[in-house]
Amino acid sequence: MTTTVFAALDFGPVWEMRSELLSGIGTMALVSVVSFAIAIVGGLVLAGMRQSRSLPISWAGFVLIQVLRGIALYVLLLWLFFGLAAQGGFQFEPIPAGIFALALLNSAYLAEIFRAGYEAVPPGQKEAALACGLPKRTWFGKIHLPQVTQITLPAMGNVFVDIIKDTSILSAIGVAELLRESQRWAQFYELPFEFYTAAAAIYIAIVTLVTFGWRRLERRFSRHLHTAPRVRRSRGLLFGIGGRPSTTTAS
Amino acid sequence: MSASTSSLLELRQVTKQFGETTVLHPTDLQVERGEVVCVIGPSGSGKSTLLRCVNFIAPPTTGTIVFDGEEYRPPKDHRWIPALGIPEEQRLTRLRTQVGMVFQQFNVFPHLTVRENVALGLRKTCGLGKKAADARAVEELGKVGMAEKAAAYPEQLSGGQKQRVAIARALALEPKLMLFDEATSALDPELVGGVLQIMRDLAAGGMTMMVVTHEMRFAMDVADRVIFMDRGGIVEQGTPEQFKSPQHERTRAFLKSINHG
Amino acid sequence: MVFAFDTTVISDHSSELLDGLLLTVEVAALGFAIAALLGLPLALAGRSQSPLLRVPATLWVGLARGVPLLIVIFWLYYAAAQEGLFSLTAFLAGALSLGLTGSGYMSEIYRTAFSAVPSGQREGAAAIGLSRWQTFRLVIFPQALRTAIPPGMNVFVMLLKGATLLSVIGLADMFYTAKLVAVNEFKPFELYTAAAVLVIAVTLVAALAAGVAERRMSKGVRR
Repeated sequence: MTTTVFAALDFGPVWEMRSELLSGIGTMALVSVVSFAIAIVGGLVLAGMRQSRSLPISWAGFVLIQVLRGIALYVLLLWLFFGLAAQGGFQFEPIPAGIFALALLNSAYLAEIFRAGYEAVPPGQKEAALACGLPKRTWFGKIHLPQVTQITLPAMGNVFVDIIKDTSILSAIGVAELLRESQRWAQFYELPFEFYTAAAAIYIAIVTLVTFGWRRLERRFSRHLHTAPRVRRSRGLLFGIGGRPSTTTAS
Repeated sequence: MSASTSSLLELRQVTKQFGETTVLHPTDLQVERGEVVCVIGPSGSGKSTLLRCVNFIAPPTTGTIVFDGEEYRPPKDHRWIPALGIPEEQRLTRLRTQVGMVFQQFNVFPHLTVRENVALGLRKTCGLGKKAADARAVEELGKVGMAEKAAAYPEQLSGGQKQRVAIARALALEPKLMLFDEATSALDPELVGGVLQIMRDLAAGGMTMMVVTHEMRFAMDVADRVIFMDRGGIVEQGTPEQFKSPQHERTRAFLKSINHG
Repeated sequence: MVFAFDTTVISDHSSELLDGLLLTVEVAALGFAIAALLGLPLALAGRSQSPLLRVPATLWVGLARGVPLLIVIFWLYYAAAQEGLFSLTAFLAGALSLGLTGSGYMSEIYRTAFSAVPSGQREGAAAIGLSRWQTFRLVIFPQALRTAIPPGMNVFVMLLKGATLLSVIGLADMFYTAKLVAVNEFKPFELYTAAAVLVIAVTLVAALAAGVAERRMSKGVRR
């Protein structure tokens, strides 16, 4: 059967189902923000373990980070949800299970980011602060932490964006986020093209918004430190891509 | 024909701007065959820019450069379709093979051995085969005392050695003009002498040279002509003898500052 | 009963599981090859001074990095077929999805690597009369590749993890097999654990290799 390409595009049902898709976005936002917050705490704990003077703790931190970095979210979800639950004879709630998995895996990425940021501040800063007679507490709070924050913020933003995108994987265990809703209605109306295209567009919009917001946050922190304004090429602002080199890749 | 009688290099009203800032005001300059011109001046005076305009590594914004009887003008900005700039670019590439350049930061290629650094230009721009290029490269390295390091990688060398490699790399193409951009400024003091000696030998051998330098002794000994630049323009030029009693206040102040600095 | 772990189920089906694992690695490798090849022209176009090249490349990278992999998979597998654009096997749709998503990341990695090459290298190459293309091919690219390898390996790890998603479009990978066997034998814990451990082992090896490469590269003396 020969059909003209795009002849039958029908975005009407997508618009009709907007409140369902919107509630999917709500779930996605909730899950990503909560996971990110927990992952930050987890990342700090892991980074702290790594910095520990006790060798076993430091090693445990290292191994944990490496193992978590090697685990695919989907694999963890399947194992938790279908494997472990079946064995224990209990059932996870999809949303808490999803949040747990997202937070756990991303805490390892954040731990590496925190550690790199911690080490990126030149040691002369500490020597200078202590030489000025500042107590160690003041050095950490007023000198070290602001600089670490400034260094780590861009990479943290990348992790947050990755978390937002990865919430889509929670559809596999039935979390009613954006992709799950799109999938449901794509099947119901038999219009996968329209619904998946819409979902992709919504994701792009959200990722762009979040990236812009995050850039503002970064700027606020750099302004506070009176550093020279970061040079940004205007082309870097499209989708928030390209302005800064990004090599952190979480999945 | 007339090329042999006129100057090797002539700059006519050459300027350079980076965005809003003018780093080189309209400048005229002639360099004769076999002449050694030393350019001195405070940092930011436009010396390096002048040199980079000559071989179009930083193309001038306006003006004309005549090299060996051929005219070169600033390339047009093919912003939308860069491919249109290729013929012009090829002409400039040919110009650059006739003009050797040595940089402050050496700019040797870290991923290639010393021999490959020198052979690369011979193979790609002079069309030599691999064997011939390698042989020539070792020969050129011998002239700067680096033949035994031919198989080493640059990161195993001292700054002075890297600079010798860079000089051999430029000389291998048998340029008609050599540009030296603060070639000894990044070297440890004890390594400066060896590189300067190579430059002296080169000058004595009749090479046409433009040398941006802070080494006043060298400039006074070797130069046929000294040019003092400040704030993007040539303030004063003359023989080393004339520079012993400079005309301009700015020249005097500069010479005083580096002699007692 | 909670910790009764039946290993015989796993050994009985080990060859099927390993076949599935191999399929995951294959699809990830093909996806990575696509990503690495696509990323290079994308990065060059993204650095071009011509908006005609730069804008489409930036859009592409934005799309590749902004759209979740799972949506790309669904889109290529179901949506394109619905519109009669093209219809792909699960393996091809999977490799292509991984490749498209990865191309955005690889492009950024190449771009970063290109800008990490000191500008003096370009000047040095120009001064000995190399053309732009020769400069890129002989001087810039070989140096950039060295910096691009460790983060590139991280992208491979990312794609390997992403490849586990492909059972959702029916690719007969390890999880697909695990699911089938789990349903038949009613041993989901054993099978999912085995599958998870296997795939984690593979990604761990790749991730560790990436980490080692990263440390080695950062130690290298470069100036």
